[in-house]
This record gives sequence, structure tokens and C-alpha cells, in this order.
Amino acid sequence: MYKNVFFKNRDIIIILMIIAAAVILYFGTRPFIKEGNSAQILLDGRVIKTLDLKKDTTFSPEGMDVVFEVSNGRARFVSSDCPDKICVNTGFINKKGQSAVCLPNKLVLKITGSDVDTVL
Amino acid sequence: MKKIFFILCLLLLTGCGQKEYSAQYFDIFDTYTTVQLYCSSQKEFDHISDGLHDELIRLHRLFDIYNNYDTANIKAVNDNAGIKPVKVDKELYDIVKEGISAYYETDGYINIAMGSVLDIWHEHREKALDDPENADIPSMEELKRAAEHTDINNILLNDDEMTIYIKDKEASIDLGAIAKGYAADKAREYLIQRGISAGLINLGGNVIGLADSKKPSWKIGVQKPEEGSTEFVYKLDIKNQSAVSSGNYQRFYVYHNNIYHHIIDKDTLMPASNNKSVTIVSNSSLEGDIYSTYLFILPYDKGVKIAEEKGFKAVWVDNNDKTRTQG
Repeated sequence: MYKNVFFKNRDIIIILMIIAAAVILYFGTRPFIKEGNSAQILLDGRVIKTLDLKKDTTFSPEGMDVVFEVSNGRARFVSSDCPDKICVNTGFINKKGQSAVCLPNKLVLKITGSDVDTVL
Repeated sequence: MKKIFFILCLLLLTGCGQKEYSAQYFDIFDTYTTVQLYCSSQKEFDHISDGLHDELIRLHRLFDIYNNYDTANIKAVNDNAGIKPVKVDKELYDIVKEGISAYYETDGYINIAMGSVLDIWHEHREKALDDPENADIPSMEELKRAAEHTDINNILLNDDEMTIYIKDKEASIDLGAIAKGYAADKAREYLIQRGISAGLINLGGNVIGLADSKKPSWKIGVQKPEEGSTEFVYKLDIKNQSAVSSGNYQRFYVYHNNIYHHIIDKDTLMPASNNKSVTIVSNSSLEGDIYSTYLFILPYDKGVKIAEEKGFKAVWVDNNDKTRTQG
């Protein structure tokens, strides 16, 4: 039988476990990407409003029975006249790239960020 | 031995689990504060961030000119102007001392004894924000009368007793130009003492950074000087440094289409009008706070010489949105 002079089988298992742990930690922490700094509201794919996540506020698109809210650095659909309420049930979002969608109203709430760590 | 070394190297690949956590505070220095720290766990972060929050609230109360608390603060000193000296905590004593030396360093443009004039502007600003239709500006007579009570020598310090006394009863101290810078430096000390080596605090325009191998530098976007703008005029990289902006878009009101902001020029008693914003990168945030305000008031030509002399990196945005840098 071939014998590895540097590693024993047990060592290889340990090494593989550590590599596996590294991979799991890397991908496992990817959801913790940076928080965005503004929320865009898109109607039928076009940006109709950009809200600063630093300022608590509410917004309702003209002529629509939908209310958005920014609170404590997060944004959400507060209410919507759509039947399924998937958008409202998504709850608060605050990470760059996250979004909440209301298909019946063709509305998307999307968190956008930038490549900076903070703004002066 | 080699094997152990190899396995340790692999362990390093896992990064030992330090990552960036963040928190926001909404109740200090009348501004929005963000904290980003590299910690091993949420629990460790929460512990340090809560402690930092408490420390900043303590400083906020000491430097508050509008409210009284259990501990003697700057309002207590102002209330006792012309009456008696007030014994204060070390940090309050320190910052007033720093404020007095800032006066001499900046040719009197940073004057913590200018409370009487700043109060008038503050009242008009609050009134205008509450009721924009009836906004107005103070009369020059009113401002000039108040300016007679802004002599820095009105502030008397007693090192042995740690007391502060304002001898002119019409005079008062306002720490607005230096409080956040002082607090940011204290916040950095607090984090270092607790073993944090990578982190960033943004105290509403006063940024302080800690950088190490996990986070070699922090990228700071300098906002286009308009309220709520998400555009940047410049991006800065800072390591173990501070970056501070003074701008006309931070605290202001509008009257007859003109912006009336909070940085008052002692020569005109009106809001300074040479620049839209000035940003300073320096080691100390207190120094950054002082010089960003000072250079905001001065015209660019004078400011650029001072920035060069002091070895600061500085970014100016002038009234035509032209951006210039130094350093």
C-alpha cells in the first residue's frame, strides 16, 4: 500500500474538515453583506423615488393605495391594496441588493448602496 | 512540527470568524451616528457597541447647552454666568480648555464664547423650521449687541478646583464646533481599550477610523453639498485617521431663497459664505472639527495655505460646486 510520508490519513481528514469549515464560513457569512444607504422605489421598472435610509419617513406613490416606510435604517411596504400582500409580508429590508416586490402593482422596493463605507 | 504549522495556516484561511457588525444611534449630538466594528460575534459587538453608546450619551449630556442633567454640564456653567464658578467633570473641563486654545490657533474664528450670537441664530432657525412661511433673519443691531458678549477672556478656568466661570452674565459657551470631534476621539480611545483594531464611527459628519489587516482602509464618500444628496464629489481613503466635513447643507433654513446655515463668521455675524463644504483628513478628529469649520469660513486661497502648513488632506466644494483638493 502506498504510504504518504508527510501526512497520515487522519491528518488528511482534519485538513479536509478545516477546508470544509472555511468554505462553509465563507458562503455562510455572505448574507451579511453591507447595509445599503438608500431605498429605490421602482414602478414598472422605472425609479420613481429614492429614499435616504438615514431619514425616517413614509411615502405613497401618487394615485396608488400603497405606503412605504423608512425606519431605523430599514425600508418596507407598510400596506398595499394588492390581494396577496407578499410585498407587505416581506417585512423590513436593509441589505444592499435586497428587494421587496408587489407584482400586482408592478412596484419594487430595492436597497441600493455604494462602494463607500460611510458618507460625510 | 511542519504538520502543525500547515494546519495552523489552514486555520488562518477560515479568518477566525471576525466580521463587520454595525449599529446606529439616534439620540446623540442631535445627529445620526453609525458604528461599524470588526468583532468575533454579535454578542461581543453588542457589548462594545452598548458601552460606546453609553459613553457617547455621557459626553452628549456634558456638552448639551439646552438641557440640565444630574451632572453639571455646559448649560449649568452658562446658567451660572456672572453668578458663580461651576465644578465640572474632567471631560468638560478638558474640552473647554481645548476650545480656548482653538480660539488662539484660528485667529478667533473658532470661538466657544460666542454662545450669545449663536443662540440668536439658533432661535431663528428653529422658528423657521417649525413655520417656514414666517421665516426671518435676526437684525444686525440684535447681532451686534450680542457680539459685545463674546470675549474669550470671559471664560475663567481654575485648574486646581476644576471649575469654569463665565464672568459676563450675558455671555455663554457653545461647544458646537468642537463637541463631536472631541467625542469622536474619545470614542476611538474607548474602542482601542476594548481591543478593537478595525472599525469606523460616523458621528454625523465626524468620521473616525481604525484600520488593520482585516480592514486596511475605509472608503469615505464626500457628499455633494445638498441636503439628502446621494451623489459624491470625492472619495477618500482613511486608515487610523479622522475625516470631518463642515457644510452649509447640515443645519440650515431658507429665507428669500437664501440658505442660512449654522456656521457663523465672527466678522460679519452672518453665515459664512465662501464655500459650500470643506472636508479635512487629520489624525485627531477634534483638530479636524476645528479646521474644517475654520477653513469653511475662510476663502479657499487662505485655507489652502493653512491646510498645507498643517499637513492635512482637504477637500473644498465652492459655491459653483467646483471641487478642489490639497494634500
